[in-house]
Amino acid sequence: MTVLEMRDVVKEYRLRNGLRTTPLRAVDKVSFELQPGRTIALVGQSGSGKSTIAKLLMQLERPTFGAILVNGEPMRYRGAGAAAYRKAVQMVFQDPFASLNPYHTIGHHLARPVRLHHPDFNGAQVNERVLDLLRRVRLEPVEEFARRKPHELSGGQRQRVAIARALAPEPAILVADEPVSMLDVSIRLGVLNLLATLQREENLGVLYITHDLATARHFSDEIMVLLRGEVVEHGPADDVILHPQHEYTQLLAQAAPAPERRLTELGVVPHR
Amino acid sequence: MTPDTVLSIENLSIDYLAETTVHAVREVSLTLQRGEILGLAGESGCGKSTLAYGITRLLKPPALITGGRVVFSSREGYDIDLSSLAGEDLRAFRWDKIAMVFQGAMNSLNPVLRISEQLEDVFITHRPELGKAERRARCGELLERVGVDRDRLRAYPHELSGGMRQRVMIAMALALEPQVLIMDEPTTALDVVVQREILREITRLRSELGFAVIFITHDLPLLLEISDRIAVMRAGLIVELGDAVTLYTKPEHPYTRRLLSSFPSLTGRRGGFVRNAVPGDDIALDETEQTVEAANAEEMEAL
Amino acid sequence: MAITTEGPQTATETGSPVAATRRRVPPMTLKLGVGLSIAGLIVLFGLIGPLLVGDPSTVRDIGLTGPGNGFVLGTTQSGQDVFAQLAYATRGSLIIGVVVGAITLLLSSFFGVVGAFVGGWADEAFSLLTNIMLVIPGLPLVIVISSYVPNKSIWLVAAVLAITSWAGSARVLRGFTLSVRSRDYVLAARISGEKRWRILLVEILPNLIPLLASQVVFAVIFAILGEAGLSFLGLGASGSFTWGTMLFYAQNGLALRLGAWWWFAPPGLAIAVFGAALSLINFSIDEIINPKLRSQTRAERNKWSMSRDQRKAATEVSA
Repeated sequence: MTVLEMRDVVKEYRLRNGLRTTPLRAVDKVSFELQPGRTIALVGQSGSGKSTIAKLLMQLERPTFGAILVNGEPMRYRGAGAAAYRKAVQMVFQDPFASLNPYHTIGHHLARPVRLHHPDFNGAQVNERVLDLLRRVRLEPVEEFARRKPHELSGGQRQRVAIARALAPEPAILVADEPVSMLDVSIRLGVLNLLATLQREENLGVLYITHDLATARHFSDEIMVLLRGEVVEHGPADDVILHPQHEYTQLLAQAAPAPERRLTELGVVPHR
Repeated sequence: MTPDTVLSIENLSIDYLAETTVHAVREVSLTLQRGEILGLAGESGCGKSTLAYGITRLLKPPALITGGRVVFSSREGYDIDLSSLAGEDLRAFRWDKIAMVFQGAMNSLNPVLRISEQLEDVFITHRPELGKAERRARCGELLERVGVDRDRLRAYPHELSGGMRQRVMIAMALALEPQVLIMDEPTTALDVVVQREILREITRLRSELGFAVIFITHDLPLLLEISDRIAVMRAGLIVELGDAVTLYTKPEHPYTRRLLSSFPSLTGRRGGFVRNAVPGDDIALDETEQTVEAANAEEMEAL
Repeated sequence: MAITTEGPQTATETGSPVAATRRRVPPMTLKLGVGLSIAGLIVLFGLIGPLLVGDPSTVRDIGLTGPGNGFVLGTTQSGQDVFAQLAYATRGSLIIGVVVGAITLLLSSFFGVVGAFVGGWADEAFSLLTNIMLVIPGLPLVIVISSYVPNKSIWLVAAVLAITSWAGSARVLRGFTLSVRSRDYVLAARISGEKRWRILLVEILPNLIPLLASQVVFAVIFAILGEAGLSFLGLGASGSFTWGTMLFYAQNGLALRLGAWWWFAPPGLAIAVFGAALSLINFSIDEIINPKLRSQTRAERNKWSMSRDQRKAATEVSA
């Protein structure tokens, strides 16, 4: 049972402008609580701060103010606490082509995290875990995929490897940073469905970072809308999309392509 | 070819010659009517960009047109077979009659030149008879027409936002008042709000100036919003072509259906793809990744 | 930073439909074949030549003679066997090349790669040191060092050349390491909790190998040319045989004036040919680093087997 909480987190960068520096608030007092088995969508356009939040959660940056808590305890950056955090919180990157090292096999990519979190495993046990992970993301035949290198896989397959890698340490929380936005359109839902299935099976808490309102709505329980680092709206998914309160959310909902709206304007009743 | 057709693509084939020959575009036939917006939808690798480059004769080796032809019917009443153009004629033709906005266009502006210089460059090349003052005036008009303030002429590209840069690229494409505009994923890298504005500009400009548009993108719902007709492309073939509304409400080809179902509706029923569905209901991952050849062959048989 | 804040872009395949296999070893092309063969032959000559020829320093009183009379490349002014000298000189120059290459590899990797990877003050310090070494003029420094030590051995010359040349490589490696360091798969390794040295060795180094190889080859070329230049000025290892010292003695013996081509042409040619061979090898390595170069070479173009009309039509693009 791992609960991840961000409490009034602020991240400020200092931009150098000649001799002066101006502060830039990439993240401005963001708070949320992620329970196991729930999905929170973080929706924002570019520059909204959603990538910074991902970096903060993955300990690649430190908050300027505020705290990130795991089960009520502040996140640790060193020592056993940090190792425990890394085991509990994992990330799926956006770019399937950049998140795998072209020189190593798929098996190697998965074996490393397994070994790191189970130093007591012997070779055979590690191998078994690796093949099991591949099975769970439906990359079969598993032995063959373990031997392949990233360039021999398609974008969707690589993203599934990235998901498998994130699952290797048996985490409790998954941060998915735009996991499907760089994939071909027709395989996006398949990958999202896979994530949903895995979440169900492992009772994971998922932070789904995206710019796409439609998948955010279908995939998550709650939605947070981010504008210039601030959360302007936060609520249950259907409420936020269908009855947006903040004008920015309304603007987003209006701006997204909505074929049904056009069809009703034209007086056509869709058959789907 | 009806008198209303401005562009007629007849059995165009484009191959990539390499260790194995790849048929990027296979005997594609399309007609573009004057003033219409034709959406060209497809995923990466389907050949839509290659087709666009083929039409404008911008293909670089190892890509090569291996068959078919493209005929342009000008407003003034004459027809030109694009493959017969060469050298100076081709140079004069491009941009004047058919213009293109490329993928990632907003990053195609020269960062060390002002916007005015880059816009004026088009006129210097194609309308050398214009005087300096007249050129300046036209550039100003162009910018205002795409919704950018005239005094942005003196700015450098990095001082403009992504959306504004894209508008500048559109302005550049419209400079010589072409009859056909080809746009390759013009809004993909933009925020959804800016995207909506750009689409509005394009439809407005189309009604003002009367040019035809081939709008290439993978975003099918977006095409429904602005296109008159939509062509769906896959592995070098046009698998479905029809009126936008019909294609959306009564898609015929299985690939079109699959493409449409990949876009969950924002406001509709929360069905089809749901987190609480029974496991095993998910869209099978395997079938979506089978080789394109095999899938195409399958579907050809099924039809 | 790979977690990009740009809007999403569908991953489009590049124009080339040929599978983008990441090669570790350059593909065998004519360029590479020629380069390797020539370099290989010269290395072989340097290794076993001295074992087969006579003593290069034996002075005879036949004076300056051309090829013939049992001397493949004639004799020097003091009757020494030029061919024997060439064999020993090849070995000498190769030793210098190898030593400089090795030292440059060690120093530039340490100051370039490790510095960039560790970051922070170490990176700043190493970078500063690298820049200082870059700015110090190499040749005057070498001359100064050389003038302090009258009887230089090959090893000293090699060391001096290495010290003045590692900085350029270090800068290149640093830039590349910085870019690799911010790639997603390195971040993924960090997030997994991998130890830093493991990340350096396992994730970053394989990507650096082609660049390192190219830098080392470049260093060897520079070393040989540099040594030749030094020796010609009389600042080299005058007691040993290298291509450069041969040229020095040839110049001193007025070989050019006297038309004794067999004395100065062989070492000069050897330098040029070996340098060219190494450069060819480097171009092949460059094709791994920058795959776009592959499709632009004539060999690739020939593979397209377009007809002349097609080729003509294709060049219309640049019209």
